[in-house]
Amino acid sequence: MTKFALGIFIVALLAGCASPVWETKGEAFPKMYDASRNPVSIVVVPAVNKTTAADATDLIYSTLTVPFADNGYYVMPMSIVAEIFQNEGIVDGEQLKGIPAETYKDSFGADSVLFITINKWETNYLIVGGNVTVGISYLLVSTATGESLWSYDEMVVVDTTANSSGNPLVDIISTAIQTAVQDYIPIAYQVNSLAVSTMPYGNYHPNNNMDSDALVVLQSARIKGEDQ
Amino acid sequence: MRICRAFLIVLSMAILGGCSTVSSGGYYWGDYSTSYYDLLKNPTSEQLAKRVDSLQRIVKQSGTLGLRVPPTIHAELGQALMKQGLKDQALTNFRKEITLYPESAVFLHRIVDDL
Repeated sequence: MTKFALGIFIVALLAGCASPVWETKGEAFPKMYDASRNPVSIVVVPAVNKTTAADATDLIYSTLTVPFADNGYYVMPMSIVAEIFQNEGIVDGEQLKGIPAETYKDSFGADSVLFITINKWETNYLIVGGNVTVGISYLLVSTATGESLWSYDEMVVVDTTANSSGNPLVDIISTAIQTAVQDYIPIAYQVNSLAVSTMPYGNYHPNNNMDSDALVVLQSARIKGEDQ
Repeated sequence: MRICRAFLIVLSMAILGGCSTVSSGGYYWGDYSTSYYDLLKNPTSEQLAKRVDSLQRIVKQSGTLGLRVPPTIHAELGQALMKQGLKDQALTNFRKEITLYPESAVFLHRIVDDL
C-alpha cells in the first residue's frame, strides 16, 4: 500500500515537473530529409524587429551567413539581397507579410526563404551586475510548396558583469561601461549558431543526411519558431 | 542540455580561434562578419575598401589552405568592386561564384545582365 502511494506520488511529481521534450532532427524536421524537398539554397528576407534596438537587424544579418554556410547551405549573398530590398523600400519583415513564399523562387531562384523575428534585444544594468539578452525566432519555408521546413526559437543571455574591484560603487560603474561597450557581433553569432545547430546538415556538409538521430531539438522552441 | 550545447560551441570557437582558422564547415571566413557589419554601420569609401580587402584576403587564404572559397564571398566581392567602379573585376568575381556555387546562377545572371 505504501509502495503504491509512493508510486502515485512519484508519477504526480514527474507530471507536475513538465520536463522539456527533446526531439531528434529527423522527428522534428522530416521534410529536410526528403530528397524531393530538402533545400540547398536559402534567401534571407528582412527581419521583423519587435525590439527597440535598431542595430539588432544589422548584427543578425552580418553574422547569419557563416553558421548557415558551415551547416551545409548556400545562403544567397546577404549584402546583395539586403540592398535589393532596401532599394525597394523594404526595411522590416512586417512589410512582407502575406507575400507567398513561392515569390522568392521567381525573384531569387532560392529553394527556401528564411524569416527571422527579433523578439528580444535587451541590455540590462543591475546593481549586482549586467547582462545582454537576445531572443530570435527562425522559420525556413520551402519556395516550391510553401511548407515549413525548419523552425527554432533561440535565446541567449550574456553576463556583462565587470570583475569585482572590491569597491561596490566602482563595480556598478565598470559593469555599466562593460555592458555599453560590449561587442555584440559574437553574441549575434552565438544566437544564430545555437539555432542552426538544431538544423539538419545541408548538401555541402559531409554529414548531410546522416544526422537524423541527433537528439538536439527542443520541441517547445521548434513550435515557438514556427508560430512567430 | 542547452547549457552543454552552448558550452560546446564556445569551446569549439575557442579551439578554432586558437590554433586553426578553418570553420566547422571547412571554410576560412577571416573577418567576414566584422567587415560586413562595419560597412553597414559606416558606408564610406574607406570602409568599402576595407571590405574589399577583407573579402580578397578570404579568397587568398582559402587558396593557401587548399579550401573551397566560402559561399557568397566572390559574389559580395563582385558587388563591392562594382561600387568601386571596377566593373571587369566585378564580373570576373560574379562568374567565379556562379561556377563554384551553381545555386547562385539564376540570381547572379540577372545581376550580371543588368551591368
